[in-house]
Amino acid sequence: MERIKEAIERAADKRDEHKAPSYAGVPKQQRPFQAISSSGEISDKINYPISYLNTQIHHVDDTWLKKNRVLHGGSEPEIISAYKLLRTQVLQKMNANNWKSLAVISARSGQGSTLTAVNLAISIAMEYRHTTLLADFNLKAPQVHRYFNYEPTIGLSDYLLHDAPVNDMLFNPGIESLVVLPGREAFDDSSERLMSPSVRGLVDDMVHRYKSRLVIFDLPPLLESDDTVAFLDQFDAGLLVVEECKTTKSDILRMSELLGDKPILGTLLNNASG
Amino acid sequence: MESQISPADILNAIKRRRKSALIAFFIVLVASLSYALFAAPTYRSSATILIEQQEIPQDLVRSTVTSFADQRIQMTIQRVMTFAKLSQLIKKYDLYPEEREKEPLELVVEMMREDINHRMISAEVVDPRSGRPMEATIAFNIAYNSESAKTAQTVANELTSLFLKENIKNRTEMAEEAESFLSAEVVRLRNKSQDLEQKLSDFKEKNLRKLPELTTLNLNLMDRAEREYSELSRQIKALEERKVYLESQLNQQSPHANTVGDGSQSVLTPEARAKLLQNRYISLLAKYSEKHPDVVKTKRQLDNLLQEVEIPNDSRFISQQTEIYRAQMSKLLTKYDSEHPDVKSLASVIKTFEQQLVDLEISAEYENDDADNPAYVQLAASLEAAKVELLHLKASQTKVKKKLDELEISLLESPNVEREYRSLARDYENTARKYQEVKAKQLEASLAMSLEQERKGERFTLIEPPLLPVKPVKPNRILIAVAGVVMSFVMAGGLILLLEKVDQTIRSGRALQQFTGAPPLAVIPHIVTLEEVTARKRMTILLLGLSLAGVVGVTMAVHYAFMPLDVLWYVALRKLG
Repeated sequence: MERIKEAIERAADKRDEHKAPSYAGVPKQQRPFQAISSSGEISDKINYPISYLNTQIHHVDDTWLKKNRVLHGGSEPEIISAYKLLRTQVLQKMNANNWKSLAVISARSGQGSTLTAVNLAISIAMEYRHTTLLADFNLKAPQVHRYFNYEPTIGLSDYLLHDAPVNDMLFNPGIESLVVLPGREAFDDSSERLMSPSVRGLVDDMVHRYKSRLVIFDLPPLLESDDTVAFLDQFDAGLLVVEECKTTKSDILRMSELLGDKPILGTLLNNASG
Repeated sequence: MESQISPADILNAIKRRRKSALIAFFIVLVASLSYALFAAPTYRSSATILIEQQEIPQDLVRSTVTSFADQRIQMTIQRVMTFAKLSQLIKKYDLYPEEREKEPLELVVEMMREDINHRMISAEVVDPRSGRPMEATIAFNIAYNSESAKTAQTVANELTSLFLKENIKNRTEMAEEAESFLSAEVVRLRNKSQDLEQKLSDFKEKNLRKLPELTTLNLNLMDRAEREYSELSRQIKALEERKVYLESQLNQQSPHANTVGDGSQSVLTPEARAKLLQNRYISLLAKYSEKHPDVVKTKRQLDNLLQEVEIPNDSRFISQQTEIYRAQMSKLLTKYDSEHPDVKSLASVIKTFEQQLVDLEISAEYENDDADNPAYVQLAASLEAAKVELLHLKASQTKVKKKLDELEISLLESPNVEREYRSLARDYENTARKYQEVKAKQLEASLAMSLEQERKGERFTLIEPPLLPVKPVKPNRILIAVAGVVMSFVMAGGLILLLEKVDQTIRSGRALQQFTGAPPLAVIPHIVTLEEVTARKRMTILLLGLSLAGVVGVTMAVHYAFMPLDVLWYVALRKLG
């Protein structure tokens, strides 16, 4: 908490040195960021001018996005509408329950949880009433930045190791209302880290900083490490990703066992052929 | 089990498993087609043999071959298919050459047995006796399968002729056996019959009178004998009474006339007088002593008489007189010695009398002429007669008694004898009858034997000799090819089913819904990248090109290395059509 505050204050000092991005003219309620008052209190109102002075903007090539199956304006209509359906239901349920953070969970690697998280975040961000923070908390193998063809100079690992300012890590992949917190280095003791107070503090900050912000976590596959289970109490709800012809019924059963009472918004069938 | 499977699911399943399905499909297809084209043909040559009924009606000559036609056919086939006969055939026609090198001969013979088929041909007939329809075997078929048409025909021919020969041999053997058995029985029974006959007549001889036929006669005889016996008894009794009467009468009479007591005077013969004197002397001597004057006087009278006349021929008189003289002699000897002249003269008189007695006894036996009393004589004669008759009657009675006893024994033993006799008679009759029966049967059997020997009995006739087969009986190539195609689909389908069943992953939104209880929030289809599209295109082209090349290559290879294509075409046509 303290560190973020300091980080943000430090960032605020540099504010004036940067040029305001083109988002400055965006109406208030649509701005994803709200400045923390100097008193350190979290403000409910979106009164403060939102600026992206904190976050870098990194544009991604359309071809890259296509190649990596990332959702974008030129995607196939059926893909866009499928994600729209997902997004709508997710948002409905999150709002109905007043949930703020969502973890995208799959059973095993390669079943599309990271891609789903990315595409869901993009889909939500496209309806830019909701600001979305996509956080790559896969400390074993951070992947999210790759989808945006972005090589972070600093990432979450640097925060955990060196207390690097999180604000400096955030980037905007050229899509309105979407901010990404990348990983960078991998950890062996990822699950222990995730349970550390520094991570708790960061998560708390991220979730409670802005009212309308939705945080989407990308985590390692549930059945391949204990990270997600360790992180279980730090997110509000989960979304299960099931890949057609890949996820077995027993895996699903196991997942539900591990998740226990954790609220799950529902399942998503990925890579379907029908 | 999934509740509803939509066509979309099926299509998806096929798409998913297309690789494995195609592989399965082609493997099965190629296998069956090659089998259809290249499998070795089996040719089959068969002979049909008709079972002809006996020409001569069964009522006239009954066959001794009594088993059912089916049974006989089976038996004959077994005799033909023995190891010995078949191995002979194998060697003669060089059958199964490759197998003979690898396998032992027993297995090869077994293979040959499997290549031999037989089949009964029956027809529905109406049983003449019961009027019900029934199946009768009227013909049968014997066939041989081989890879070569010629071999099939040749071997089938051999088998058929072997079969027919065996059958004939079998039948004549059976008939001959029956006949010889019956002949032996006839001989046996004849001997037995003769033995029993002999026994019976021996028995009859031995027990002649006890035979049951004589029972009535015996009873009658016994009756008569009993009556005779009682008659005789009666007569004897009467005669004995008479005898007693006569004896008493006789005792009252004196054998000599006028010698009863004193007083009666008559002229007596010197013999009578001598007897009278003797009697008087004896009776006087009984009363008085010899010194008595009456005694002396009588004695002197008697002595004088005896010197004058002949000695009477009466043994009694003589012996009595001898006794008298002997008594006198003993008296004299007390007084005088043996040299005394009285003693000597008396001794000579005694001697004379003794001699007379001896002579009398030798010469005259039955003369009983010493009695001269007519009444006495008559009575004596009557008594004698009665005595003699009594003896006769008694003898007769004994005889009759004996006869009676014998008859009784006969009658008593008659039942036993009867029983034994009847049993012997019965045995004999039975044996005789049996002998007749068996003799009749033997005649029949020898007729049947002739029947078989002249082939007039039931016959097997070859009506359809083995022909050279033109088309193979196996394999039905078209059928196999079609079946093969069908099987390929079935196998592919089956494989798909199997893989789907085994697959434990979620394969559709509905499956996910079924499993988790809620439908997925969304279904994201597969996002296609440009690279994938181009890659797929490339793959398709490659596959097409390869297949084309493959087909061309195989065709060329077949054409140059195996058989030219046009020839192959005609071969295939022939094989299939």
